[in-house]
Amino acid sequence: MPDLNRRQFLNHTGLAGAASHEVFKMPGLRIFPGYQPFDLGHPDMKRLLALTRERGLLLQIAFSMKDSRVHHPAISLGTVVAAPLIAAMKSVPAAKVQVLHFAGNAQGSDLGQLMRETSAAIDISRWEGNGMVGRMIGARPETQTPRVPVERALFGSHAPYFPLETAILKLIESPLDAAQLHAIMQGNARKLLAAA
Amino acid sequence: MDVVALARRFPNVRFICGHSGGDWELSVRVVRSHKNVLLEFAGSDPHSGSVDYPVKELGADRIVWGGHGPSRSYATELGKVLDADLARADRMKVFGGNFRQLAAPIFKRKGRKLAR
Repeated sequence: MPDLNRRQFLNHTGLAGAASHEVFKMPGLRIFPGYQPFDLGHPDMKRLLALTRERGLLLQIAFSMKDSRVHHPAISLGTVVAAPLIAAMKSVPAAKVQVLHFAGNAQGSDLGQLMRETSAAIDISRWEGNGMVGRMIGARPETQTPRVPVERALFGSHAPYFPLETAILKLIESPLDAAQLHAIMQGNARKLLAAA
Repeated sequence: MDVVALARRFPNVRFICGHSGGDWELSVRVVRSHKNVLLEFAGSDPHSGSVDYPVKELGADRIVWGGHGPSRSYATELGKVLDADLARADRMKVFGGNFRQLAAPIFKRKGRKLAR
C-alpha cells in the first residue's frame, strides 16, 4: 500500500467527493479502499469523515467487491478491515457511513464492534447463508440483541456484477414481516439519505 | 486437473466437477474437452454470466445445479440460473433435469421412479 500524503489522499477521496457533490449533485461519496491506494487506517480518514459530514454527504465504503479466489492473479488486493474505521468514526460520530459488500464472518468481532460502537449502516448484498438476512437482524439467544439492528440494514444487490434476482430472493428466503421488509427495501435508505 | 485425470482414466464414468473447482472461468476451460465431466457451480459468488459461460462452452446438458446450503443462500445459487440467458428447456435441465438423468440408473436399481 503506497504511503499517500494528505494532498494525494484527498485527491483520491475528498476532491472526488466535492466534484460529485458540487457538479453532479450526488448525495454521497463512494470509496474502494481495496482498489484505491490507501486503507481505512490512513491518518486523514478522520478528515474525510469530517468533510463528508460538513457537506452533508453519505460516505459509502466498499469492503469486498468479489471473492478473492477469482481475483486476476496480476491484481493484489488486501483485505479491508473495519477496525481503523471504527476508531475514525468515534471521532466524527455524526458522520453518515454505509458499509457496502461486507462479506466477512457474520459472527466475527469485526462486524459486531462496528455495529456496537458506530452508527454505520450496512447492505445485504454479500450476506451469505440460508436465511441470513433474518439471522442477522434477529435477536441472538445469548445476547437478545441482533448482529445488525434492522434499522441499519439496507437492500443492496451489487448489480450488475451480481444478478439482481439474488438479492431479491434473499429477502424471500428469510421470514421477514412487512415492517422489516419495508425498512430494508427502502425505508432505512430514505432515512439515511434524508439525514445525510 | 485432478478431475480431468480421473476422467481420462475412467472414460466410461461420468464425473461432476463440484463447486466449479473454485474458479469457474478456469474450470470450464479445463474440463471442456472431457465429455464425461459435468460442472456444478455452487459455492462461489453469483457473478453475472457464471452460468451463461459454461452453458456456452460445455452445453446445457453438462451443467448441474447445487445449493451449497446452509453456508450459501439458496437465493445465491438460484439467482445464478435465473440470471442466465437460457431457453426454458435448458434452464430446467440445469435446475434438475440433468441430475435426474445422471441419477436415474441408481434410482432404477433401488426401484424408485423419478418424476420427469
